[in-house]
Amino acid sequence: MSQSLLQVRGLSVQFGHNKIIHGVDFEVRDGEILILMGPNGAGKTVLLKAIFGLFEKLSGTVEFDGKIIHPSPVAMVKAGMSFVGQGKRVFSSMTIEENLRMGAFLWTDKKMINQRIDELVDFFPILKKKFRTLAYNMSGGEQQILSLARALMMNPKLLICDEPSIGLAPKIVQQVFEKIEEVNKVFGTSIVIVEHNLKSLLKVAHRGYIIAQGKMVMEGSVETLADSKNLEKVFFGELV
Amino acid sequence: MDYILHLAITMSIWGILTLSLNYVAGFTGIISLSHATFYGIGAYSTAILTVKYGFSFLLSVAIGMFLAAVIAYIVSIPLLKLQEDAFILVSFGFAIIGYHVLLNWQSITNGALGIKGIKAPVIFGFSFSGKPLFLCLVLVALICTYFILHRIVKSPYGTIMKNIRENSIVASVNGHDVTAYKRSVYTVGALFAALAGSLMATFLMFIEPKSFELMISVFILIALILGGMGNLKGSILGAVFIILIPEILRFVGFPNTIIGEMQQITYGLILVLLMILRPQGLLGEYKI
Repeated sequence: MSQSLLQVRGLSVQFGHNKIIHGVDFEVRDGEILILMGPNGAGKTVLLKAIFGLFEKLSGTVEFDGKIIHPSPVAMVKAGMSFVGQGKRVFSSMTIEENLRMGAFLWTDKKMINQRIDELVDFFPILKKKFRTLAYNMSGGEQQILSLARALMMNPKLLICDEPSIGLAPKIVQQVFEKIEEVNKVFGTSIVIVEHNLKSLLKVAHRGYIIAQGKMVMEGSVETLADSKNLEKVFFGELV
Repeated sequence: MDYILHLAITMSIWGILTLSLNYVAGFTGIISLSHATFYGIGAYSTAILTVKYGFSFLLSVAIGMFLAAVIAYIVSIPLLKLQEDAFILVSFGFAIIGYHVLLNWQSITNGALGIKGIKAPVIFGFSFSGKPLFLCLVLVALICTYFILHRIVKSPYGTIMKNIRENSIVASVNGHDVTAYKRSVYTVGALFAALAGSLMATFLMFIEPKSFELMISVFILIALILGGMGNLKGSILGAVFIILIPEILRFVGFPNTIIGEMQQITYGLILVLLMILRPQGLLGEYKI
């Protein structure tokens, strides 16, 4: 069994008087692609944002790569975690090259940054073609690839992707997932994905969790989770 | 000639003021309505320290800038936890508090009577008492402000400022401490606003709380939007226009009883037209 990379224990998040996440335990193993599923409003995005420090947690611990970390984006990036959020994910007034450089802002060695950019544009050929184009002029799928590449700039151990397929055409979604799988295989990056587009993702994920109403209701292999009865139960609110 | 010099000095001081707000709002996206308060802190520090305690001009300016920066830093701790609209509203509240402190802390500020008898600046024994010499001094201050801010916004730090303006969440997930950056930007902006205040106090030789009320913050914002957010040259252009507009209105022939109201209506109208026709201003790169 692979080693544990991220261990979350008893994590709770509260907004005002509303408790959104209720003492969740969550684990990501080294080198795996993990899928986090659940109906709308289940708390998937909140959970990942709290792990990354974008939302303040109420209680619980986050252990990453063997160390307990108080989550904050700076601490998580330094520790080797990267986050690709939903929605607009690029600096549209900057070129592809500048966007990529932003992803390695904590690095000071220019040679190392240039080398990493070369590696990533070779890995994502679409970025090479439009290297000096403003991100604003890229299609939604290309922007998604760019945000993925930018998140990989500092060679993270764990990449968190929050609904990478949102707003993309089915064909492009397939390409994005293929690239995510390739990132996992080529760079050995562990990946956590929140996704509604389960059909495409279940082919690439190794393991998964189902969350509903802020509680983890199921954990298991992709095959178990893919069982249509389980998914139906979650989405119709019977597995809470 | 005296009139032209007066306008040129006022435009230059407003140039510094608009540049300082551009640094905060135009480059980092922190739309603040509290800028007049920091402008007032600079003006009152110089006035109080030189008139009541006999401090030198340079030392009083330095203390005014330092004080404005410290207050801005402290205020920014709760303020910058708020997002966009809420931040604008609270900065509006802070400007009202600032005005009432100047108005009611009579033992220090002399209240509504203001402080008069502020002397012309003397630097290393050289007095800038005439308008031509004072213009030289404010132009040096304007050029220095321009180049310091230009240097910052073109640096990697400036790139992060623009990233925060464009998408603070993505800037944050890239590993930048967005709140710390915003706090430092807000502090530096206040520092230069205080410099403008110190210069204005020694130029007019009299200050009163009314010169630093909420509407002044609104006028600085109008000058900034007019010239263009995210463009330093635009700030100077905006300052020129904001000073010239009331002067032009003087020659239109409105009765004296309504000329003040007409100026405010004109500023409002310009803002409405700009937002509809050219939201990025004359030279701007960024629109609200």
